Amino acid sequence: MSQLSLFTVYLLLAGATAIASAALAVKTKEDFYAAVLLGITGLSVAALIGLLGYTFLAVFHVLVYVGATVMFVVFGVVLVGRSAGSERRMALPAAVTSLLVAGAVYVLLRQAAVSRVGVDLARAASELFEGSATALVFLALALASLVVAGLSIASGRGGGE
Amino acid sequence: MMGEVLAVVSAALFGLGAYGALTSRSAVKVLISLEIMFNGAVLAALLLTSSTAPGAGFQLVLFAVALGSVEVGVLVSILILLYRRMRTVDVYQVPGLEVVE
Repeated sequence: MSQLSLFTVYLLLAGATAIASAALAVKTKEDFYAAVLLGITGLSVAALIGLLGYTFLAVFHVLVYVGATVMFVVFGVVLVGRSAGSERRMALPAAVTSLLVAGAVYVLLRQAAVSRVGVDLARAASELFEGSATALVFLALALASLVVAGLSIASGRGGGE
Repeated sequence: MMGEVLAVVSAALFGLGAYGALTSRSAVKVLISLEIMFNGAVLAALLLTSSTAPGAGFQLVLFAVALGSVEVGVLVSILILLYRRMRTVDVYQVPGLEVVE
């Protein structure tokens, strides 16, 4: 019997936590618990990212995704304060569809990892960050205006009747 | 081993998110399910680029996480407006999205 290394134990633990917390987030009836479980999923995914070797990205994921995004959702849930349940008639078709989707993603990932085909992401990234710096500035401005638009929509002054 | 585990986790997150998005009536739960799918997509992108172009995967995922955060901010704002106008977050009661029997 081969001994499991500490790295493998961490990997399996983070993977199992991510799947379990995501399953509980989908199944729980309370939106608040679902938002908190989404945060735990985010932390587990950050751990997996760190184990993959992207430590800075893992910290960024915790700070920006878990720290900001999940907090947004939690405060949204607290402000709204009520839930709407689930659609039981859709359970079986949704289960079949999601199983097919998950299987397709798994097969795609395994095949892509074996064949190593696809777009040249290194070239795409260098063109994006070195050749399109002005476009990135405009993108940042567009993102900032999106935040303002979101706040305007939430306050009810974003148009419509 | 690592690639296998990450592929399983990524596919499972994607499938669980799809299930939640299809079955939930609450707009908040739909948003949370879509965010679970987003986490699966982030893992898949990093897994695919980790051996061939790690720097590119890093930059693209950095971008995706930042964009995802802004998107959630806007969506939560829309949900709050929906609740203020309709007094419900049930997507089946939103005008134009009602279930036709």
